[in-house]
Amino acid sequence: MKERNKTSFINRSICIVLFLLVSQCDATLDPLDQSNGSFSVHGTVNMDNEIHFFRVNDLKATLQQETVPAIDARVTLENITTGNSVVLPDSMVDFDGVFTHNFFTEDIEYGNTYELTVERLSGRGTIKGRWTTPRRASMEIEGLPAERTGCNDPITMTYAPVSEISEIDLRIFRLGDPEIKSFRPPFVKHDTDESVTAVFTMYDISKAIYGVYTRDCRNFQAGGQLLFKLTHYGPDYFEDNITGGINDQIKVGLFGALYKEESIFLPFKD
Amino acid sequence: MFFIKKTSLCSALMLLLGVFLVVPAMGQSRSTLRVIVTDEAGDALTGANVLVYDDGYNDIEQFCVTNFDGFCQVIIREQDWYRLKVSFIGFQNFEERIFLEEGDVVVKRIELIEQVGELGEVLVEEERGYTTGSLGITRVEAEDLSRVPSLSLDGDLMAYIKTVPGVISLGDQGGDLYIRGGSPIQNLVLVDNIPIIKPFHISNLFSAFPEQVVSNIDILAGGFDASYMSSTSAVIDVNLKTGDLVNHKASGSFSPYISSLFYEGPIQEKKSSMLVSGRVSTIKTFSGHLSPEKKDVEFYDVLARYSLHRDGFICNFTAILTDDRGKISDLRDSYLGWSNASFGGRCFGFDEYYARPFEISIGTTSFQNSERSTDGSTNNKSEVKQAFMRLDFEDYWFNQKFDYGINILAHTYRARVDSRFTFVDEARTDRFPMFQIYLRTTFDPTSNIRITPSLGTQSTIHFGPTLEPRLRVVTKPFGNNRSELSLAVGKYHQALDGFSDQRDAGTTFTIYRPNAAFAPLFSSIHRIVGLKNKIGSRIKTNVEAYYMTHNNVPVAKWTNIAQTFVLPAQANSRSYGVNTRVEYETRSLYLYLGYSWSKVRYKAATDDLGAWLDTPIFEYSPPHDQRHQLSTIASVDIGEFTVNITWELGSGRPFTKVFGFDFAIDVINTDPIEEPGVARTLFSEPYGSRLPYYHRLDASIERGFRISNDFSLEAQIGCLNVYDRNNVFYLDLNVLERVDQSPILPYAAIKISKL
Repeated sequence: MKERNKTSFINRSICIVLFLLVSQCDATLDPLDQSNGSFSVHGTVNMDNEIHFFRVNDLKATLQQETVPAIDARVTLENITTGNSVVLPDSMVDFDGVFTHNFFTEDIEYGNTYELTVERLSGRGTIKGRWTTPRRASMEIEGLPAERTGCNDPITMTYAPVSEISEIDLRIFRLGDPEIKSFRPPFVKHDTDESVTAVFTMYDISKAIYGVYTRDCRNFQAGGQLLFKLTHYGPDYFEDNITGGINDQIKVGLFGALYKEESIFLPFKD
Repeated sequence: MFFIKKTSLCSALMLLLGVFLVVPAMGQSRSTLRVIVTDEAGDALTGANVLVYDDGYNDIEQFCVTNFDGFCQVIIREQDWYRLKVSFIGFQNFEERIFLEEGDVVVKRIELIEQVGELGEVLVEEERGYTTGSLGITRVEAEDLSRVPSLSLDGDLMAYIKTVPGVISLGDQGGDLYIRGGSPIQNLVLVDNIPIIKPFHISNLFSAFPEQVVSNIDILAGGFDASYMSSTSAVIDVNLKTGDLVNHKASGSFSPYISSLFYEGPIQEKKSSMLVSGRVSTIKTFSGHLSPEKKDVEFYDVLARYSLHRDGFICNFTAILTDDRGKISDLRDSYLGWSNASFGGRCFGFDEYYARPFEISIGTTSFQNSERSTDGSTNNKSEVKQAFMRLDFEDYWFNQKFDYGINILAHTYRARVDSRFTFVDEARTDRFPMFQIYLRTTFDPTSNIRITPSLGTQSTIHFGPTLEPRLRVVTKPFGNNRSELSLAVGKYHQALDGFSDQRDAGTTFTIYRPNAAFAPLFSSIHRIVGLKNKIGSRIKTNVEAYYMTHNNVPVAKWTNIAQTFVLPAQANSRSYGVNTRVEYETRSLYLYLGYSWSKVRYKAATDDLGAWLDTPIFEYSPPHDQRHQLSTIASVDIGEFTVNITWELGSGRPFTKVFGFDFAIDVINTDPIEEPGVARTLFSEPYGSRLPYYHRLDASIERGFRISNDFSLEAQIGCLNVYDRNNVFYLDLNVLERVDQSPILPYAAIKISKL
């Protein structure tokens, strides 16, 4: 009987000690989501530039991480069209103890498909992003009206070659005016000859920029020149992560390729 | 203009009162017995059984249960001699032979004498049952409050309420409560019908209602009838005690965290009395010495009550002041503050000259809360003022008892905010008159079923009349009083809207505002079913399952990128769960076990919430979705000592992890060699992770000493978070550091009372 009481006492003591040990344990908490995301890439390529930068951030390093200036990332750019692959160099910049990493290349061609790979040395947390640069295209305009006539005459604008999934952003301003109001002609894609066309009138441009009256259109026509600003986005271009899912890891940042063109036209035939 | 309108409305209400007091009830060919039951000190006894037998004690002719004024009335149809019996637990039974004449209205004021001995009331219940109809309601007596250690010798509602299954607080700071999935703004706290916003102190251990001023508190966690409007989640109805009508009593207590003074006594013996309580925190001064962490919080509360008892009416006038200031996180330069100033009076008339018992309440409240930083970069303030006048009647139509009433409220809202709340027009002062009307009846189709349907409606200039039907059904499945099976369903609307940045647990600042014109109202549907049992004379069990849906709940828009400004959105939510409690009580031992399993889900279109997700509809668990909650209380008298122990366990609540950090840059238009870009903190899936489990042991031991015939002394030592558990309060996303709840808090308290 005495032995049983002793065993019971020992068991109870062990339970109490275990309870206290368990209860003293710190409740650990990792504030960083380690299971999603590893790098962000801000790497929009402007085909007109000579050097193309890819800003790579280690998402899991705090912004004040001064002790480790180097980034645990190997960045490879592969031209899928030609099969060439190159490891990009890092131009690390120190901004008051905060290091940024801009990997760069000079070798980007029109109309080619590239794949950017960012990986840790351990191989974990690799992200890849693939995009195609836009082809160089040219614009033709037909039907600019004669001076002081034809505010409602159709103007046809054709831009080619444009890939099926490329985006064209064309804005028309009046040269010399503040670039606040513009006219954006609606484009129609023609997959057969890889072109886009837009049909509009001088009245449409005048209405978008100045007002609804025809006399404004005529004054507008007489007053000066038109500025056409065109941006040709390559396929797979995106501007921010808002449109992408949280699990679509590369879509944190700006990514893709584009080029821009500007032309000046008289609002009437030469 | 607004003032004129209010005056006219009040005049109309007074006229209505006059009409109702003189117009007799339909079919007044019966006797009415009105009973007021009090203790010897004149304090109303709530829940006393009043039974009217035939003269031979063979059958119960009528019965009723006293309300918080200690009042109830019965209608007797035949002129005759009857036996009146009144019982209440802990008091001697009262018995009297009375003659009731046809058409008479008889008022009996009964003073029960305290009894030390067997609990007589249980036997009365055995003789003839009545249903308590307490589904969804937790009635808390002052004694219950004293069983929970609270850094003071006086128990407190706030310390106790967190042990009630289904009541969640996000930590031990902030003063916010979430009840069965509802948010703090959806709760209504009433004191003498005065609606008081957030009468809870910043430390989350104290409220404006210490044990010594409380008669009892009803925590209505949903399913309540239409006499309670203005809340879509829960009501906390605080019944203050009447100041002692016979003896002068006073006490003063001190602990390193709070000090208090209390007085109650007659102004005119058995006719009028005064009760005054004042408490002030001393946490800021002493916390760094007794515990490893200094707490930068301070608060006070003052409560005064004047009671007037006359033969035909009881009036209580109450004033409550509260003030809270401090930081809930040392990591932040953010000082929070809130204060209340509430005044009101409630008169209950039951005189035989009145055609029907009535109650008139009138009052005004002013609440403001603020958030400021020491450098002045943040200085937000929001205030809401309320005035109300309410009339309640009890009547019999077609031999059926009805309760009905009208409430006229006027709200004024004002806010002064910085650019974080760009959506608020701070130049605007909103004035918001509102009407509420309700009708409630109770009938017993059989001796084992009681049905209480009620209907309420409210309207303002901004929205048309709502329709809020509610139903409570109580049955005795086994034909005795030991078990009650109940259900409650109802629809609820609420006009008071409040918006806080739930993404940031480091602030509780809330912008109060009226429901926008023609915008959908806050609304909810409650469904509750419960089973209550008494096992023997010492064990009580209660199991309740609930399913509640809330529509148009204000939430903060969530973006994947940390940003300083906040935008409102609306979400729909559903919460469901099971709450259980088991109580065991003897003369010297009280054991309590409460367990809650619950789930809360919010749902809204992803576009509305701005979340960074692929799905068009985004559903998430809000920060108060605590899946498991376990509370235990043990209170035992050992000789001259009383030992109180509580242990709480809670599963981890949802929080949002950080997806990562980066410097965003437009490498086309900005030179990345020259510019670092914009520093960004990216959030992961909103509330996609859970904090660790929470658990905490609190203990206290106290003893009373009789110093003389007139004075006593009580001493207590205790400790909160006995084993110094590092419980996480929240993750501060601004600085990416965890903020812990209070570490070990030892204390000693002393109280001197004049008896």
